[in-house]
Amino acid sequence: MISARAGWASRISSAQSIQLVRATAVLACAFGAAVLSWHFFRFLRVFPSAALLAVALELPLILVGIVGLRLLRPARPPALTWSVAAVVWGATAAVGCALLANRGLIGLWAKGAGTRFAADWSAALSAPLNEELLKLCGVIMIVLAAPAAILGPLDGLVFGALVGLGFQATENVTYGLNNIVLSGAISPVRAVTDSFTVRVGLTALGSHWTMSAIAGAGLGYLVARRRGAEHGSVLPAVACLLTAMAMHLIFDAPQTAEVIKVGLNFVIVAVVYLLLTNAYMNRARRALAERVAAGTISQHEAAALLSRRRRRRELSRATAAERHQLAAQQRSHLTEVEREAA
Amino acid sequence: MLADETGRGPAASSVTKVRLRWLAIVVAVMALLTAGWPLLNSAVANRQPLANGARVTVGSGPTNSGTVTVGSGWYVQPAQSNPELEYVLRNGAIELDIRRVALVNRAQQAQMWRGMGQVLSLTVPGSSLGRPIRTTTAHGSPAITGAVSGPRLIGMATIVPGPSREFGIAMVVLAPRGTSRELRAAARQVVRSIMFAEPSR
Repeated sequence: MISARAGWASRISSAQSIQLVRATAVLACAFGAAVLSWHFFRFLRVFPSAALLAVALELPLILVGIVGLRLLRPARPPALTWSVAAVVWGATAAVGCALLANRGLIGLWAKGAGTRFAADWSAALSAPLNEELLKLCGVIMIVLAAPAAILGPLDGLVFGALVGLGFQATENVTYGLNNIVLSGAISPVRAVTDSFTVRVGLTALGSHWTMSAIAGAGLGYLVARRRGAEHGSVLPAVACLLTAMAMHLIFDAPQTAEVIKVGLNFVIVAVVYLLLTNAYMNRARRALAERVAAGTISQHEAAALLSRRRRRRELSRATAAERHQLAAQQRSHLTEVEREAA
Repeated sequence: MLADETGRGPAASSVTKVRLRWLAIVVAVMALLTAGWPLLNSAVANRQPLANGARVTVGSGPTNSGTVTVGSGWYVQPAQSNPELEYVLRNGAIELDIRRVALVNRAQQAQMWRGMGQVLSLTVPGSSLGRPIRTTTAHGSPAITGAVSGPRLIGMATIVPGPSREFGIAMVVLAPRGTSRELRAAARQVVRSIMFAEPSR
């Protein structure tokens, strides 16, 4: 059985294996979307205005989030296609599966430890395990489906944040809809806007995107290790995943002020981001200095390469005939440097 | 978890194997969480018996909660219950859902009945809520009640505003058509037993 499976695997080409990963990801997203539709489609029939409002309110958040999070990557943003794919995974596959997983585990807490304990702690003890793993699965799928998209911890952080953003947006919609029932459907639109105000105005800065950004950074360390990069290691990968779960536990724990939970998560992700960016830029500058010394790139080109603004300025100074070639040259150099720096 | 530039040769084969192994891990983790917990949950009995005369309180704090007293044969379904928001009780084929509804202001009391009808059409598709009738609970609190009818279920919905008028307790009894009168009377008795820490104004 094992040898038959090994034989089957060895007959698949690299391109076919990538296609298989992508097809599996599409299926997982379709499954998640189907689960969500099954649970929430009736809201659209009974409360059409409030349901549409709940979705519409999240659209600006998603757009601003995608733009903002892609800008976190130094030098140039990650590919738009894979950025959107990460958000879609978070918004469908991860949330849909988490809905079923959480319901099961929360039910077990209520049956085993009582309804009082479950009311206080079941979310804090279920979501960190289920949701962080399901979101991280999305970042792993990006690594497998687009091998050049995530090369190190900083890429992992950005893609993790994008998966978390998608999860957060869909969860906001479901919380808004559930709030209609909790408030007795007296004012469905008000229930949705109240939920939106709390979840976007108060907790958004420290919610899912921060936790999965940290877990994603951990995965990036594993990818870097596999590439043979010096900074790649298993230990920070495990530490990042455990930190993300701990952040989630504290976020869902009862009797802790919202401002502390949100502030703590935001500070953690900001500090990790600054440390990773600093290390990334140091490695990138070192890689550029080596190329300047070897004569493969001029000092002038090297000085502009890592800055979006300076690259644009160089392009604007070039003649129309030179511009296309210069842009291609910048992309080629940048790809090489990013591979070493990631 | 490594890029293979050419897609050919032993290195590419190794990368493909690693990719397929990680894909299998992802699928296994997702299946384990998504199907494993619900399966395990369904294997554990969802019933916590209540003694005859036991009190069940829904809400947070004495001034924001309501308490019902149950007779014999009732049990809580813990997986669907949360002491601050909702209790689902069962007695044979009868289900009694007790939910605390937060009100923003006193004027919203008038809209509670319409809201309850909408929530019922969400949770019990095809059901309809009859005209509300004014009544009082066993402890003298004013309430409104009405019949619920659906394709396979019949029952009764009741709303009792809390003393502060900033919350209400919504209760829905549902039973398959043909359920015995005795059981339905037992459910009505639980509904009528609702009481609050503060006297109604």
